[in-house]
Amino acid sequence: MMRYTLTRIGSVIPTVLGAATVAFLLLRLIPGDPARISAGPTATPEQVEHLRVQLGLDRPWWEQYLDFMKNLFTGSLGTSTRSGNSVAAEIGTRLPFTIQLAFWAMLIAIVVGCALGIVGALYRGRAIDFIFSAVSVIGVSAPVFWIGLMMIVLFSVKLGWFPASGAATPASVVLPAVALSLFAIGFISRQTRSAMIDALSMDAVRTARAKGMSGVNVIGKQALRNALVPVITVVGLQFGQMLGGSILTESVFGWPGIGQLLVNSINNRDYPVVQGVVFVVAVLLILVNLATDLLYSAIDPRVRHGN
Amino acid sequence: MTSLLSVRDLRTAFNGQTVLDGVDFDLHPGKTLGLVGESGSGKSVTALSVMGLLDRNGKVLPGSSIKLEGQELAGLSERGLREVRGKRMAMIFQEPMSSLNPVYTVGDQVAETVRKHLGLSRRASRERAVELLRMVGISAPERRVTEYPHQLSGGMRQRVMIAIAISADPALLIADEPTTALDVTIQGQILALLKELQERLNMAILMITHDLGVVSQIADDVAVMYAGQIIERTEAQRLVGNPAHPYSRGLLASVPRLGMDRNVPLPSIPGSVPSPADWPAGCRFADRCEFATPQCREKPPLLIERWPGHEVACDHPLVDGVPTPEPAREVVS
Repeated sequence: MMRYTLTRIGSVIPTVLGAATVAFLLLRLIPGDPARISAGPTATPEQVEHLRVQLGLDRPWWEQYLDFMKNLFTGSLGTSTRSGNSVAAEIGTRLPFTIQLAFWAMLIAIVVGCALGIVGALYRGRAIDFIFSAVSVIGVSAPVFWIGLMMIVLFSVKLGWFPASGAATPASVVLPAVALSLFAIGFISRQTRSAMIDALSMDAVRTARAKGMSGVNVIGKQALRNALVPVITVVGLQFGQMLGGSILTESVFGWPGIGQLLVNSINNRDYPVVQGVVFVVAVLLILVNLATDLLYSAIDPRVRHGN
Repeated sequence: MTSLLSVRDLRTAFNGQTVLDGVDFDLHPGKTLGLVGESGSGKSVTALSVMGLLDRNGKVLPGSSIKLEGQELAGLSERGLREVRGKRMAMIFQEPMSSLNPVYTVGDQVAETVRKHLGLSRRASRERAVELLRMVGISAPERRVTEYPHQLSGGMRQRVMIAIAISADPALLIADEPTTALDVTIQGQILALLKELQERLNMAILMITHDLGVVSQIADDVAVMYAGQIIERTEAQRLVGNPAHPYSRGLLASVPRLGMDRNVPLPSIPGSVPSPADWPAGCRFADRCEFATPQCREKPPLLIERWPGHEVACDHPLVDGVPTPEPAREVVS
């Protein structure tokens, strides 16, 4: 277990370096002159030249690369060309909101999605299974900008239960979290249902029944743990996506997360911020994948024994 | 002698299609009954019906009776069956590779059965699990309890399954092809272990197998199944030496023996077991039987005691391999 964990954690380092390199290249590979584009159409040649020096684009690429990497190790991601603040500070003010939103949305999605999936598997082919299937199809296919607006109309404008936008009060997170969770609920419940159906037909589940174990034991202990690996895969993917900033949900609900920051920076051609956001999001994804892998090995001993 | 397990007119259907068509047998305490037949003959369904472990499409039909120590199990609720399963009757399966749960240690899986049925503490059931693993011949059981099924060989896993099965000292053990998936040498060891445990625990065994070699090694009595029915029933040694049903004889003849002429092809029964939807009106074996007469295809033969302790469902039972000419229907015992 220990060795598997350490090897897996060790493999994160090259991945992060790779992500940093990609984020670095992104800015350099954009067609045209980044300084020219970044400065805007009305800039004078002097202003462009000034920006070029500020971004370090006048120096050889390998020097820029070494600089970029060196700065990463000291925690610096550069300076926003718009606000003049450090990129790390810009991201630092937005990231907690994204994490908060993703956390609540994921919590809702796991609880509701697993419950729907397990019940669907236990009553497969019956009316309740079809109803739950329909719910998950709606969750996956309904666009969040439409569902989100409908929720605002109903719960904010008509009923006045929750704020329509912003993140001013603790209740503000409810609507965006529910809206963001719908897609994941649909995804997770489908996966849970099929994994549970597979698990319930395992010989080992029949053995548990032959041992006289209770229904709770058979479903909750014997079958569920075997069904968890594919479910965790989906949860990990969904959570990674949510951490990358859910641009649509954040826009609909005016949520000041990292997705909005990214969109604004792209609109403002604020390349250092774009580069920083891409890197941070990549690191978050890498960490979620690491957590997913470690969970696999905690759940299924065959993973950690390399079998 | 009162029987431990008494099955009468057992009928089981899957999705409305009858697959067991009136199975009767008795199993006495401490004895072994071999239930023999090809794939599709209904022997595994018989075992699962007794255990109440049919999948959701399977149903034991009303009128069937399964009595264990006098208690009727047919129609018993799932809750009621749970008190019987694992405690008074236990089962081991054909696939030791998949019968254990891959995500829990071997010790957990033995100990949870002990805890459930004997009400021991976590610690005491753990110690009992080690003891049980030692009883089934697993070396270094203190170490093995912490291992996972995938770390054990097939034979070891079947020993663990046996340890689970005997953990509550059941009166009946149902073994569904327990050695089929194992190497020949391991097969012998497992059969010897079952025999030894049977004597030690005075446990009756219902041994389901297609292998008459297994039957002759371990069974006291044997019942041959074909197309959802028992077609011959007698002592194991008598059946092996003197099969009366042409199907039983065919099964015996298709077992290879040492010293056989390798140039002569091994005899086999042509065709396969008819599926329940295609059961003929008369004798269900008639289409594959070399001795079948036109009358055989019209009226189904009854399971009749032709000789003391030897029942056969055939109108022309074999004597020394030769069919008796007279349809002896009148002889009803």
